[in-house]
Amino acid sequence: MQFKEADIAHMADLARLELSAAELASYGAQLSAITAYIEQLQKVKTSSVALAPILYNIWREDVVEDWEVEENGQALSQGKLEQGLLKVKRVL
Amino acid sequence: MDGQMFSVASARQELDKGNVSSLELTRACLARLQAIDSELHSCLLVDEKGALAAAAEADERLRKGERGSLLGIPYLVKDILMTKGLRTTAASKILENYIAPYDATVIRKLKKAGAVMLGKTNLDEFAHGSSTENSAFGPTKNPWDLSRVPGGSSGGSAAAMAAGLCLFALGTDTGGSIRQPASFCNLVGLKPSYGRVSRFGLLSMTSSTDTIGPLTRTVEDAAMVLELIAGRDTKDATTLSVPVGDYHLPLSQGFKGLKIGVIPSYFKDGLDEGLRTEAIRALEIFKKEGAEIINLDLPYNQYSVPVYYVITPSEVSSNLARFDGIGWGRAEEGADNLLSFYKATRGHGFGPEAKRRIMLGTFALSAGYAEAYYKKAQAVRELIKLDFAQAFQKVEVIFTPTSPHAAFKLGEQVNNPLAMYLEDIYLAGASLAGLPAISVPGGFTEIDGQELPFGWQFIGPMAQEASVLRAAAAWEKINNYQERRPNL
Repeated sequence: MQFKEADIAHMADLARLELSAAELASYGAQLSAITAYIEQLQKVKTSSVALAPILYNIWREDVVEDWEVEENGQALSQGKLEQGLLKVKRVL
Repeated sequence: MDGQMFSVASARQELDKGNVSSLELTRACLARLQAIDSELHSCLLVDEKGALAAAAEADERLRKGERGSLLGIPYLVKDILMTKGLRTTAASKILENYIAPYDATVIRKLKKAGAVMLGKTNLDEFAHGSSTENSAFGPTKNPWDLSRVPGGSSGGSAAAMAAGLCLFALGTDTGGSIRQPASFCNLVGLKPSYGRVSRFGLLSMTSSTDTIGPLTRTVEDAAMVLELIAGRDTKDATTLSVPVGDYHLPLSQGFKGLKIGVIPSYFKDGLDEGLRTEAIRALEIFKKEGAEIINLDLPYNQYSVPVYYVITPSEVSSNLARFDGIGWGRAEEGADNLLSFYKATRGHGFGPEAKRRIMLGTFALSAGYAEAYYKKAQAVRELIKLDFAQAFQKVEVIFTPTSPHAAFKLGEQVNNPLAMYLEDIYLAGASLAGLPAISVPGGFTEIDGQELPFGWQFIGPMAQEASVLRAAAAWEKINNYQERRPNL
Protein backbone atom coordinates (compact mmCIF):
# COMPACT_ATOMS: atom_id res chain seq x y z
CA MET A 1 0.00 0.00 0.00
CA GLN A 2 1.67 3.17 -1.19
CA PHE A 3 0.55 6.19 0.80
CA LYS A 4 0.46 9.63 -0.76
CA GLU A 5 0.68 12.76 1.37
CA ALA A 6 -3.08 13.18 1.09
CA ASP A 7 -3.61 9.70 2.57
CA ILE A 8 -1.30 10.47 5.49
CA ALA A 9 -3.06 13.79 6.05
CA HIS A 10 -6.43 11.98 6.09
CA MET A 11 -5.21 9.35 8.61
CA ALA A 12 -3.76 12.10 10.79
CA ASP A 13 -7.09 13.86 10.67
CA LEU A 14 -8.97 10.71 11.72
CA ALA A 15 -6.48 10.15 14.54
CA ARG A 16 -6.73 13.77 15.66
CA LEU A 17 -3.02 14.38 15.15
CA GLU A 18 -1.50 17.60 13.88
CA LEU A 19 1.57 16.84 11.74
CA SER A 20 4.30 19.17 10.59
CA ALA A 21 5.25 19.35 6.89
CA ALA A 22 8.40 17.32 7.59
CA GLU A 23 6.38 14.64 9.40
CA LEU A 24 3.85 14.44 6.57
CA ALA A 25 6.69 13.83 4.16
CA SER A 26 8.61 11.21 6.17
CA TYR A 27 5.64 9.22 7.51
CA GLY A 28 4.42 8.50 4.00
CA ALA A 29 7.54 6.54 3.10
CA GLN A 30 7.79 4.82 6.49
CA LEU A 31 4.16 3.75 6.65
CA SER A 32 4.27 2.56 3.05
CA ALA A 33 7.29 0.38 3.87
CA ILE A 34 5.58 -1.05 6.94
CA THR A 35 2.32 -1.86 5.15
CA ALA A 36 4.31 -3.42 2.30
CA TYR A 37 5.87 -5.72 4.88
CA ILE A 38 2.44 -6.51 6.35
CA GLU A 39 1.02 -7.37 2.90
CA GLN A 40 2.52 -10.89 3.19
CA LEU A 41 -0.40 -11.76 5.50
CA GLN A 42 -2.70 -11.67 2.46
CA LYS A 43 -1.02 -14.85 1.21
CA VAL A 44 -2.01 -16.84 4.31
CA LYS A 45 -5.04 -19.06 3.88
CA THR A 46 -7.35 -18.40 6.78
CA SER A 47 -10.62 -19.70 5.40
CA SER A 48 -10.53 -22.78 7.66
CA VAL A 49 -10.28 -20.71 10.81
CA ALA A 50 -12.99 -18.79 12.64
CA LEU A 51 -12.25 -15.20 11.79
CA ALA A 52 -12.12 -14.03 15.37
CA PRO A 53 -10.63 -15.32 18.61
CA ILE A 54 -13.03 -17.06 20.97
CA LEU A 55 -13.96 -14.61 23.70
CA TYR A 56 -15.76 -15.16 26.98
CA ASN A 57 -17.75 -12.70 29.06
CA ILE A 58 -16.55 -12.28 32.62
CA TRP A 59 -19.37 -11.18 34.90
CA ARG A 60 -19.57 -9.33 38.16
CA GLU A 61 -22.45 -8.10 40.31
CA ASP A 62 -23.93 -4.83 39.13
CA VAL A 63 -23.00 -3.00 42.32
CA VAL A 64 -21.59 0.52 42.44
CA GLU A 65 -18.26 0.87 44.24
CA ASP A 66 -17.52 4.47 45.08
CA TRP A 67 -14.04 5.85 44.66
CA GLU A 68 -12.34 7.23 47.74
CA VAL A 69 -13.07 10.97 47.90
CA GLU A 70 -9.37 11.80 48.07
CA GLU A 71 -8.48 9.66 45.04
CA ASN A 72 -11.42 11.08 43.15
CA GLY A 73 -10.28 14.60 43.95
CA GLN A 74 -6.74 13.79 42.88
CA ALA A 75 -7.98 12.32 39.61
CA LEU A 76 -10.11 15.35 38.75
CA SER A 77 -7.62 17.95 39.90
CA GLN A 78 -5.49 17.69 36.79
CA GLY A 79 -8.04 18.98 34.31
CA LYS A 80 -9.56 22.41 33.96
CA LEU A 81 -12.52 22.48 36.33
CA GLU A 82 -15.30 24.99 36.78
CA GLN A 83 -18.00 24.48 39.40
CA GLY A 84 -17.22 20.77 39.58
CA LEU A 85 -17.43 20.32 35.82
CA LEU A 86 -14.63 19.67 33.31
CA LYS A 87 -14.16 22.51 30.86
CA VAL A 88 -13.82 21.69 27.17
CA LYS A 89 -13.22 23.83 24.13
CA ARG A 90 -15.98 25.19 21.99
CA VAL A 91 -17.39 22.29 19.98
CA LEU A 92 -19.43 24.12 17.39
CA MET B 1 27.57 -2.08 49.85
CA ASP B 2 25.26 -1.70 46.88
CA GLY B 3 22.46 -3.46 45.04
CA GLN B 4 24.98 -5.48 43.09
CA MET B 5 26.03 -7.38 46.18
CA PHE B 6 22.69 -9.01 46.79
CA SER B 7 20.09 -11.03 45.01
CA VAL B 8 16.56 -10.77 46.40
CA ALA B 9 16.96 -14.23 47.95
CA SER B 10 20.25 -13.47 49.67
CA ALA B 11 19.04 -10.05 50.86
CA ARG B 12 15.97 -11.82 52.27
CA GLN B 13 18.21 -14.06 54.38
CA GLU B 14 20.36 -11.20 55.63
CA LEU B 15 17.31 -9.05 56.45
CA ASP B 16 15.59 -11.87 58.31
CA LYS B 17 18.73 -12.60 60.33
CA GLY B 18 19.11 -8.92 61.16
CA ASN B 19 22.53 -8.67 59.48
CA VAL B 20 21.37 -5.81 57.30
CA SER B 21 18.42 -3.43 57.48
CA SER B 22 16.09 -2.30 54.74
CA LEU B 23 17.25 1.27 55.39
CA GLU B 24 20.86 0.25 54.75
CA LEU B 25 19.95 -1.54 51.54
CA THR B 26 17.77 1.36 50.41
CA ARG B 27 20.40 3.98 51.22
CA ALA B 28 23.03 1.96 49.37
CA CYS B 29 20.82 1.79 46.27
CA LEU B 30 20.00 5.51 46.44
CA ALA B 31 23.67 6.40 46.86
CA ARG B 32 24.66 4.29 43.88
CA LEU B 33 21.83 5.85 41.86
CA GLN B 34 23.07 9.31 42.68
CA ALA B 35 26.64 8.34 41.83
CA ILE B 36 26.12 6.75 38.43
CA ASP B 37 22.66 7.32 37.01
CA SER B 38 23.58 10.65 35.43
CA GLU B 39 25.75 8.49 33.17
CA LEU B 40 23.09 5.84 32.47
CA HIS B 41 19.87 7.82 32.63
CA SER B 42 17.89 4.76 33.72
CA CYS B 43 15.54 6.60 36.08
CA LEU B 44 12.97 9.30 35.31
CA LEU B 45 12.07 9.82 38.95
CA VAL B 46 13.67 8.91 42.25
CA ASP B 47 11.40 9.06 45.31
CA GLU B 48 14.03 9.30 48.03
CA LYS B 49 11.63 10.48 50.72
CA GLY B 50 9.05 7.77 49.98
CA ALA B 51 11.70 5.07 49.74
CA LEU B 52 13.30 5.94 53.06
CA ALA B 53 9.89 6.04 54.75
CA ALA B 54 8.95 2.66 53.26
CA ALA B 55 12.31 1.19 54.33
CA ALA B 56 11.90 2.45 57.88
CA GLU B 57 8.42 0.94 58.00
CA ALA B 58 9.73 -2.36 56.62
CA ASP B 59 12.45 -2.43 59.30
CA GLU B 60 9.78 -1.86 61.95
CA ARG B 61 7.73 -4.76 60.59
CA LEU B 62 10.83 -6.98 60.57
CA ARG B 63 11.67 -5.97 64.14
CA LYS B 64 8.18 -7.02 65.21
CA GLY B 65 8.88 -10.47 63.80
CA GLU B 66 6.99 -10.22 60.55
CA ARG B 67 8.45 -12.17 57.65
CA GLY B 68 7.66 -11.95 53.93
CA SER B 69 9.46 -12.69 50.68
CA LEU B 70 9.82 -9.08 49.54
CA LEU B 71 9.60 -7.24 52.88
CA GLY B 72 12.21 -4.47 52.86
CA ILE B 73 13.53 -5.17 49.35
CA PRO B 74 14.26 -2.05 47.21
CA TYR B 75 12.98 -2.06 43.62
CA LEU B 76 12.33 0.18 40.61
CA VAL B 77 9.23 0.40 38.42
CA LYS B 78 8.91 1.06 34.70
CA ASP B 79 7.21 4.45 34.38
CA ILE B 80 4.14 3.00 32.68
CA LEU B 81 2.57 1.78 35.91
CA MET B 82 0.45 4.03 38.11
CA THR B 83 2.13 4.93 41.41
CA LYS B 84 -0.14 6.99 43.59
CA GLY B 85 0.98 10.55 44.23
CA LEU B 86 4.00 10.20 41.95
CA ARG B 87 4.55 11.46 38.46
CA THR B 88 3.73 8.76 35.87
CA THR B 89 4.70 9.73 32.34
CA ALA B 90 4.98 6.64 30.11
CA ALA B 91 8.10 8.57 28.96
CA SER B 92 5.81 10.86 26.96
CA LYS B 93 5.52 14.64 26.85
CA ILE B 94 1.77 14.20 26.84
CA LEU B 95 1.99 13.01 30.47
CA GLU B 96 5.03 15.02 31.46
CA ASN B 97 3.41 16.40 34.62
CA TYR B 98 0.77 13.79 35.28
CA ILE B 99 0.43 12.62 38.87
CA ALA B 100 -1.07 9.13 39.24
CA PRO B 101 -4.22 9.26 41.42
CA TYR B 102 -4.03 5.60 42.38
CA ASP B 103 -1.69 2.63 42.57
CA ALA B 104 -1.64 -0.15 40.01
CA THR B 105 -2.62 -3.50 41.53
CA VAL B 106 0.96 -4.79 41.32
CA ILE B 107 2.17 -1.69 43.15
CA ARG B 108 -0.52 -2.07 45.79
CA LYS B 109 0.51 -5.71 46.29
CA LEU B 110 4.20 -4.82 46.57
CA LYS B 111 3.45 -1.99 49.04
CA LYS B 112 1.37 -4.34 51.18
CA ALA B 113 4.24 -6.84 51.12
CA GLY B 114 6.61 -4.14 52.34
CA ALA B 115 8.82 -3.86 49.26
CA VAL B 116 10.54 -0.46 48.95
CA MET B 117 9.89 1.48 45.73
CA LEU B 118 12.87 3.65 44.82
CA GLY B 119 11.42 5.35 41.75
CA LYS B 120 10.35 5.06 38.10
CA THR B 121 12.46 3.96 35.19
CA ASN B 122 12.83 5.11 31.60
CA LEU B 123 11.16 3.38 28.67
CA ASP B 124 10.33 3.81 25.02
CA GLU B 125 7.38 6.22 24.95
CA PHE B 126 4.19 4.27 25.79
CA ALA B 127 6.28 1.09 25.45
CA HIS B 128 6.64 1.58 21.71
CA GLY B 129 10.08 0.35 20.85
CA SER B 130 12.98 -2.03 21.36
CA SER B 131 15.76 0.27 22.48
CA THR B 132 14.43 2.96 24.88
CA GLU B 133 15.54 5.53 22.27
CA ASN B 134 11.90 6.51 21.77
CA SER B 135 11.67 8.02 25.24
CA ALA B 136 10.66 11.69 25.10
CA PHE B 137 13.16 12.33 27.88
CA GLY B 138 16.31 10.92 26.33
CA PRO B 139 17.69 7.40 25.90
CA THR B 140 19.16 5.09 28.54
CA LYS B 141 22.62 3.55 28.14
CA ASN B 142 23.63 -0.07 28.50
CA PRO B 143 25.90 -0.49 31.56
CA TRP B 144 27.89 -3.17 29.66
CA ASP B 145 28.80 -0.65 26.92
CA LEU B 146 27.69 2.96 27.27
CA SER B 147 27.64 3.47 23.50
CA ARG B 148 24.93 0.81 23.16
CA VAL B 149 21.25 0.55 23.96
CA PRO B 150 19.98 -1.45 26.95
CA GLY B 151 17.13 -2.73 24.78
CA GLY B 152 13.48 -1.78 25.11
CA SER B 153 10.95 -0.91 25.90
CA SER B 154 11.87 -1.72 29.54
CA GLY B 155 15.41 -0.41 29.01
CA GLY B 156 15.49 1.78 32.11
CA SER B 157 14.55 -1.10 34.40
CA ALA B 158 17.12 -3.36 32.74
CA ALA B 159 19.95 -0.83 32.88
CA ALA B 160 19.21 0.00 36.51
CA MET B 161 19.15 -3.70 37.46
CA ALA B 162 22.37 -4.47 35.59
CA ALA B 163 24.09 -1.52 37.28
CA GLY B 164 23.00 -2.62 40.76
CA LEU B 165 20.71 0.35 41.44
CA CYS B 166 17.98 -1.90 42.89
CA LEU B 167 17.42 -5.55 43.79
CA PHE B 168 14.65 -6.17 41.30
CA ALA B 169 12.78 -4.12 38.73
CA LEU B 170 9.36 -4.32 37.14
CA GLY B 171 9.00 -4.11 33.39
CA THR B 172 6.23 -4.76 30.92
CA ASP B 173 6.33 -7.10 27.94
CA THR B 174 3.93 -6.69 25.06
CA GLY B 175 6.11 -8.01 22.23
CA GLY B 176 9.40 -8.70 24.00
CA SER B 177 9.96 -5.63 26.11
CA ILE B 178 11.13 -7.49 29.24
CA ARG B 179 12.91 -10.35 27.51
CA GLN B 180 14.98 -8.42 25.00
CA PRO B 181 16.40 -5.86 27.49
CA ALA B 182 17.14 -8.77 29.86
CA SER B 183 19.12 -10.38 27.03
CA PHE B 184 21.03 -7.16 26.29
CA CYS B 185 21.86 -6.61 29.97
CA ASN B 186 22.70 -10.10 31.35
CA LEU B 187 19.52 -10.42 33.37
CA VAL B 188 16.63 -12.78 33.90
CA GLY B 189 13.49 -11.31 32.32
CA LEU B 190 10.18 -13.09 32.78
CA LYS B 191 7.08 -12.46 30.70
CA PRO B 192 4.22 -14.19 32.50
CA SER B 193 1.23 -15.70 30.69
CA TYR B 194 -1.30 -13.13 29.55
CA GLY B 195 -3.67 -12.62 32.49
CA ARG B 196 -1.31 -14.09 35.10
CA VAL B 197 -0.62 -10.61 36.54
CA SER B 198 -3.27 -7.90 36.82
CA ARG B 199 -3.03 -5.04 34.33
CA PHE B 200 -5.08 -2.69 36.49
CA GLY B 201 -3.10 0.54 36.66
CA LEU B 202 -0.92 -0.31 33.66
CA LEU B 203 -1.19 2.37 30.98
CA SER B 204 -2.57 0.22 28.21
CA MET B 205 -0.59 -0.27 25.05
CA THR B 206 -1.76 -3.46 23.32
CA SER B 207 -4.58 -4.67 25.53
CA SER B 208 -4.52 -8.22 24.17
CA THR B 209 -0.82 -8.86 24.78
CA ASP B 210 0.33 -6.47 27.58
CA THR B 211 1.94 -8.23 30.56
CA ILE B 212 3.86 -7.08 33.65
CA GLY B 213 6.88 -9.01 34.89
CA PRO B 214 10.18 -8.93 36.78
CA LEU B 215 13.75 -8.21 35.68
CA THR B 216 16.13 -9.82 38.17
CA ARG B 217 19.63 -11.14 38.58
CA THR B 218 18.57 -14.75 39.19
CA VAL B 219 15.75 -17.10 38.24
CA GLU B 220 14.89 -17.64 41.91
CA ASP B 221 14.44 -13.88 42.35
CA ALA B 222 12.08 -13.79 39.35
CA ALA B 223 10.06 -16.63 40.89
CA MET B 224 9.84 -14.74 44.20
CA VAL B 225 8.54 -11.58 42.53
CA LEU B 226 6.13 -13.44 40.24
CA GLU B 227 4.65 -15.33 43.18
CA LEU B 228 3.77 -12.03 44.82
CA ILE B 229 2.41 -10.07 41.86
CA ALA B 230 0.49 -12.91 40.18
CA GLY B 231 -3.17 -13.67 40.80
CA ARG B 232 -6.78 -12.99 40.02
CA ASP B 233 -7.93 -9.38 40.32
CA THR B 234 -11.56 -8.26 40.18
CA LYS B 235 -10.32 -4.98 38.70
CA ASP B 236 -8.88 -6.78 35.65
CA ALA B 237 -11.38 -9.14 34.10
CA THR B 238 -8.68 -10.69 31.90
CA THR B 239 -6.78 -12.14 34.85
CA LEU B 240 -6.64 -15.93 34.96
CA SER B 241 -8.81 -17.90 37.34
CA VAL B 242 -6.21 -20.70 37.26
CA PRO B 243 -4.51 -20.65 40.67
CA VAL B 244 -0.98 -19.23 40.96
CA GLY B 245 1.52 -22.09 40.57
CA ASP B 246 4.33 -23.33 42.78
CA TYR B 247 7.30 -21.42 41.43
CA HIS B 248 9.89 -22.81 43.87
CA LEU B 249 9.73 -26.52 43.12
CA PRO B 250 10.73 -26.10 39.43
CA LEU B 251 13.94 -24.27 40.43
CA SER B 252 15.55 -27.54 41.51
CA GLN B 253 14.11 -29.93 38.92
CA GLY B 254 16.96 -29.68 36.43
CA PHE B 255 17.14 -30.77 32.79
CA LYS B 256 16.76 -34.52 33.28
CA GLY B 257 13.79 -35.79 31.32
CA LEU B 258 12.78 -32.31 30.15
CA LYS B 259 11.46 -32.28 26.58
CA ILE B 260 12.87 -29.19 24.86
CA GLY B 261 11.51 -28.15 21.46
CA VAL B 262 13.82 -26.54 18.93
CA ILE B 263 12.86 -24.95 15.61
CA PRO B 264 15.89 -25.49 13.34
CA SER B 265 15.05 -22.56 11.03
CA TYR B 266 15.35 -20.16 14.00
CA PHE B 267 19.06 -20.91 14.19
CA LYS B 268 19.85 -20.11 10.57
CA ASP B 269 19.38 -16.86 8.65
CA GLY B 270 19.50 -13.64 10.52
CA LEU B 271 21.02 -15.07 13.71
CA ASP B 272 24.44 -13.67 14.58
CA GLU B 273 27.23 -16.21 13.86
CA GLY B 274 28.64 -16.09 17.37
CA LEU B 275 25.21 -16.71 18.86
CA ARG B 276 24.59 -19.66 16.55
CA THR B 277 27.79 -21.32 17.76
CA GLU B 278 26.77 -20.72 21.35
CA ALA B 279 23.28 -22.10 20.69
CA ILE B 280 24.69 -25.36 19.33
CA ARG B 281 26.90 -25.58 22.42
CA ALA B 282 23.89 -24.93 24.68
CA LEU B 283 21.89 -27.71 23.02
CA GLU B 284 24.78 -30.13 23.63
CA ILE B 285 24.77 -29.13 27.28
CA PHE B 286 21.00 -29.65 27.58
CA LYS B 287 21.41 -33.14 26.12
CA LYS B 288 24.36 -33.95 28.37
CA GLU B 289 22.24 -32.95 31.38
CA GLY B 290 19.51 -35.35 30.38
CA ALA B 291 17.08 -33.24 28.39
CA GLU B 292 15.47 -34.60 25.25
CA ILE B 293 15.76 -32.29 22.25
CA ILE B 294 12.86 -32.53 19.81
CA ASN B 295 12.88 -30.76 16.46
CA LEU B 296 9.69 -28.87 15.69
CA ASP B 297 8.24 -26.55 13.17
CA LEU B 298 5.96 -23.60 13.91
CA PRO B 299 5.00 -22.93 10.29
CA TYR B 300 2.86 -19.86 10.92
CA ASN B 301 5.31 -18.24 13.32
CA GLN B 302 7.07 -16.59 10.38
CA TYR B 303 4.05 -14.29 10.29
CA SER B 304 4.18 -13.33 13.94
CA VAL B 305 5.99 -10.03 13.36
CA PRO B 306 3.65 -8.74 10.63
CA VAL B 307 0.64 -9.93 12.65
CA TYR B 308 2.03 -8.17 15.69
CA TYR B 309 2.57 -4.98 13.70
CA VAL B 310 -1.06 -4.89 12.62
CA ILE B 311 -2.64 -5.82 15.94
CA THR B 312 -0.37 -3.68 18.11
CA PRO B 313 -0.87 -0.33 16.34
CA SER B 314 -4.60 -1.04 16.02
CA GLU B 315 -5.01 -1.53 19.75
CA VAL B 316 -2.60 1.33 20.44
CA SER B 317 -4.65 3.70 18.29
CA SER B 318 -7.66 2.85 20.41
CA ASN B 319 -5.86 3.02 23.76
CA LEU B 320 -4.13 6.31 23.07
CA ALA B 321 -7.39 7.97 22.02
CA ARG B 322 -8.01 8.82 25.67
CA PHE B 323 -5.17 11.35 25.61
CA ASP B 324 -7.23 14.29 24.45
CA GLY B 325 -6.00 17.01 26.78
CA ILE B 326 -9.22 17.08 28.77
CA GLY B 327 -9.04 15.98 32.37
CA TRP B 328 -5.43 14.81 32.38
CA GLY B 329 -2.16 15.24 30.62
CA ARG B 330 -0.90 17.91 28.32
CA ALA B 331 -3.41 20.46 27.13
CA GLU B 332 -2.45 22.75 24.27
CA GLU B 333 -2.91 26.47 24.85
CA GLY B 334 -4.27 28.74 22.19
CA ALA B 335 -6.51 26.40 20.25
CA ASP B 336 -9.92 27.99 19.78
CA ASN B 337 -12.08 24.98 19.01
CA LEU B 338 -12.21 21.35 20.11
CA LEU B 339 -10.90 19.75 16.93
CA SER B 340 -7.79 21.92 16.63
CA PHE B 341 -7.28 21.53 20.39
CA TYR B 342 -7.24 17.72 20.03
CA LYS B 343 -4.90 17.81 17.06
CA ALA B 344 -2.43 20.22 18.59
CA THR B 345 -2.40 18.53 22.01
CA ARG B 346 -1.81 15.11 20.52
CA GLY B 347 0.37 16.21 17.63
CA HIS B 348 2.78 18.02 19.93
CA GLY B 349 2.44 15.71 22.93
CA PHE B 350 3.15 12.36 21.25
CA GLY B 351 6.54 11.38 19.88
CA PRO B 352 7.14 10.12 16.32
CA GLU B 353 6.83 6.39 17.04
CA ALA B 354 3.61 6.85 19.01
CA LYS B 355 2.18 8.90 16.14
CA ARG B 356 3.34 6.35 13.56
CA ARG B 357 1.60 3.56 15.43
CA ILE B 358 -1.57 5.56 16.00
CA MET B 359 -1.80 6.28 12.28
CA LEU B 360 -0.99 2.73 11.25
CA GLY B 361 -3.64 1.48 13.64
CA THR B 362 -6.18 4.03 12.50
CA PHE B 363 -5.57 2.88 8.93
CA ALA B 364 -5.75 -0.83 9.78
CA LEU B 365 -9.08 -0.36 11.54
CA SER B 366 -10.63 2.08 9.12
CA ALA B 367 -13.64 1.38 6.93
CA GLY B 368 -12.59 -0.46 3.80
CA TYR B 369 -9.36 -1.77 5.35
CA ALA B 370 -10.35 -3.36 8.68
CA GLU B 371 -11.33 -6.63 7.00
CA ALA B 372 -8.11 -6.95 5.01
CA TYR B 373 -5.75 -5.82 7.76
CA TYR B 374 -6.99 -6.16 11.31
CA LYS B 375 -9.35 -9.09 10.90
CA LYS B 376 -6.88 -10.91 8.68
CA ALA B 377 -4.15 -10.45 11.28
CA GLN B 378 -6.43 -11.79 14.02
CA ALA B 379 -7.17 -14.87 11.91
CA VAL B 380 -3.46 -15.55 11.30
CA ARG B 381 -2.94 -15.05 15.02
CA GLU B 382 -5.28 -17.99 15.67
CA LEU B 383 -3.09 -20.12 13.41
CA ILE B 384 0.02 -19.05 15.32
CA LYS B 385 -1.66 -20.00 18.61
CA LEU B 386 -2.57 -23.41 17.16
CA ASP B 387 1.07 -24.00 16.13
CA PHE B 388 2.15 -23.51 19.74
CA ALA B 389 -0.68 -25.64 21.14
CA GLN B 390 0.31 -28.50 18.84
CA ALA B 391 3.99 -28.09 19.72
CA PHE B 392 3.25 -28.27 23.43
CA GLN B 393 1.65 -31.66 22.98
CA LYS B 394 5.14 -32.92 22.17
CA VAL B 395 7.42 -30.75 24.32
CA GLU B 396 7.37 -28.93 27.66
CA VAL B 397 9.37 -25.86 26.63
CA ILE B 398 10.61 -24.33 23.39
CA PHE B 399 14.19 -23.00 23.22
CA THR B 400 15.14 -20.00 21.04
CA PRO B 401 17.61 -17.16 21.15
CA THR B 402 16.00 -14.08 22.74
CA SER B 403 17.44 -11.74 20.14
CA PRO B 404 19.25 -12.31 16.81
CA HIS B 405 22.18 -10.29 18.16
CA ALA B 406 23.61 -8.55 21.22
CA ALA B 407 22.91 -4.89 22.03
CA PHE B 408 23.25 -2.55 19.04
CA LYS B 409 24.68 0.97 19.14
CA LEU B 410 22.63 4.03 20.09
CA GLY B 411 21.32 5.67 16.93
CA GLU B 412 22.02 2.63 14.75
CA GLN B 413 18.37 1.81 13.98
CA VAL B 414 16.62 5.05 14.78
CA ASN B 415 15.72 6.05 11.22
CA ASN B 416 14.49 2.66 10.17
CA PRO B 417 11.35 1.65 12.06
CA LEU B 418 11.05 -1.55 10.06
CA ALA B 419 14.53 -2.71 11.13
CA MET B 420 13.50 -1.99 14.71
CA TYR B 421 10.38 -4.13 14.29
CA LEU B 422 12.49 -7.13 13.24
CA GLU B 423 14.05 -7.14 16.70
CA ASP B 424 10.88 -8.94 17.74
CA ILE B 425 11.35 -11.97 15.55
CA TYR B 426 11.79 -14.54 18.33
CA LEU B 427 9.59 -12.68 20.77
CA ALA B 428 6.29 -11.78 19.12
CA GLY B 429 4.93 -15.34 18.86
CA ALA B 430 4.72 -15.94 22.62
CA SER B 431 3.09 -12.52 23.06
CA LEU B 432 0.41 -13.17 20.45
CA ALA B 433 -0.36 -16.58 21.96
CA GLY B 434 -0.32 -15.23 25.54
CA LEU B 435 2.32 -17.75 26.62
CA PRO B 436 4.86 -17.45 29.45
CA ALA B 437 8.43 -16.88 28.30
CA ILE B 438 11.71 -16.18 30.03
CA SER B 439 15.08 -14.84 28.94
CA VAL B 440 18.01 -16.12 30.97
CA PRO B 441 21.68 -15.04 30.63
CA GLY B 442 23.12 -17.25 27.88
CA GLY B 443 26.68 -16.01 27.87
CA PHE B 444 28.84 -13.31 26.34
CA THR B 445 29.85 -12.62 22.76
CA GLU B 446 32.65 -10.36 21.57
CA ILE B 447 31.82 -7.45 19.26
CA ASP B 448 34.37 -4.72 18.42
CA GLY B 449 36.57 -5.85 21.29
CA GLN B 450 33.67 -5.59 23.76
CA GLU B 451 32.16 -8.51 25.63
CA LEU B 452 28.40 -8.20 25.38
CA PRO B 453 25.78 -10.39 27.05
CA PHE B 454 23.06 -12.31 25.25
CA GLY B 455 20.11 -14.38 26.50
CA TRP B 456 18.34 -17.62 25.77
CA GLN B 457 14.58 -17.78 25.67
CA PHE B 458 12.36 -20.57 26.93
CA ILE B 459 8.66 -20.46 26.03
CA GLY B 460 6.11 -22.55 27.90
CA PRO B 461 2.46 -23.56 27.62
CA MET B 462 -0.30 -21.29 28.87
CA ALA B 463 -0.12 -20.74 32.68
CA GLN B 464 2.91 -23.04 32.96
CA GLU B 465 5.41 -20.52 34.29
CA ALA B 466 6.87 -23.46 36.24
CA SER B 467 8.13 -25.05 33.00
CA VAL B 468 10.09 -22.00 31.85
CA LEU B 469 11.41 -21.35 35.36
CA ARG B 470 12.60 -24.96 35.50
CA ALA B 471 14.56 -24.75 32.25
CA ALA B 472 16.01 -21.34 33.04
CA ALA B 473 17.07 -22.38 36.55
CA ALA B 474 18.64 -25.58 35.25
CA TRP B 475 20.74 -23.58 32.75
CA GLU B 476 21.65 -20.95 35.34
CA LYS B 477 22.95 -23.59 37.75
CA ILE B 478 25.46 -24.80 35.17
CA ASN B 479 26.76 -21.42 34.10
CA ASN B 480 26.64 -18.64 36.71
CA TYR B 481 26.69 -15.82 34.14
CA GLN B 482 24.69 -13.77 36.63
CA GLU B 483 27.86 -13.42 38.73
CA ARG B 484 29.45 -11.12 36.15
CA ARG B 485 29.21 -7.38 36.62
CA PRO B 486 29.63 -4.51 34.17
CA ASN B 487 32.61 -2.17 34.76
CA LEU B 488 31.07 1.02 36.06
